[in-house]
Amino acid sequence: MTVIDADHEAAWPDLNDVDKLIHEPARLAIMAILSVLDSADFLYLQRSAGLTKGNLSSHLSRLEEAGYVAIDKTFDGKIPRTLCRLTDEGRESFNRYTAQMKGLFERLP
Amino acid sequence: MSQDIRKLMQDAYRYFYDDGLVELAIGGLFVIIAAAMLAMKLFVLDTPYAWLMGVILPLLLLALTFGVKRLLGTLKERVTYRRTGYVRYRDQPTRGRWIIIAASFALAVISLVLKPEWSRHMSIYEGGILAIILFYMGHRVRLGRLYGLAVFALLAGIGAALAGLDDLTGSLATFGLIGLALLISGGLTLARYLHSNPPADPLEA
Repeated sequence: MTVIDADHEAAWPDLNDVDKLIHEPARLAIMAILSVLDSADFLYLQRSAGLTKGNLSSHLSRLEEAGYVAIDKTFDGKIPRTLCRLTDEGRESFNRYTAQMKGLFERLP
Repeated sequence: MSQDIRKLMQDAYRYFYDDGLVELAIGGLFVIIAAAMLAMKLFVLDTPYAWLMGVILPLLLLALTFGVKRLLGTLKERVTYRRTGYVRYRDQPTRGRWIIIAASFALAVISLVLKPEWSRHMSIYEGGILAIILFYMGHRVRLGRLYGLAVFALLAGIGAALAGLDDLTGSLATFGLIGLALLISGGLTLARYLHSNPPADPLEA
């Protein structure tokens, strides 16, 4: 077995461990944006991730169900505001995901 | 959908500066300080009340800083958050910021102690310190126009010193010029921002 083969073999188990919920591009975008912020509203997430309302809503629901994102509905005067933030678990999972991906690609020839 | 994750994260950091309001607020602050210096120079400097300058200027600076912070928050609510959304930033460690500011002041004090004759060129120090702060802000969010403003701040300080102005006039020229540059930069950025981001439907937030 060559060195490259050995490296690949070591890399595959890591790939299997990658969090599939975060690995999906739209959810990864949402998690990445929220990772650098304390919180963001629906409008900001929709515009910066380039998602439709329906898409964003559905991905946020998945992330909320997994306990990665907390969603609070507040009011700014009479204007409703949906605030989203990463939970501690979500932040930890995102950090683990980025570390896994970095580790994976570092081992490529 | 944007796939560039790195850019999405960078844009989130940079979002605070997207509307130009920060530059407008700081620029306004500097122009008011310059105007206060000018008023002092014209009406107070050669009177027995000249000592008041040492009291009024720091108090004015404190009050304006507080006022500008509140005004900025209100403007962000009314202009930015309704157009492109609301974000709240995580508490960032301020150690790096304070190290930069303290190192700049320390450098200025040490050079003035070693070369007291340089105190005639106080505006270079003022321009230099503001340039370092603007450069640091630009570097944190990778924003080109802040680098440009940093260069301008340094040049304004050097220019005021080379013009052979007295201390107070040099300072007010430096603050005034940097303030105007920030106002112009902020104004242009705000105009572009408003043009490309019409108000969103309130129900979208």
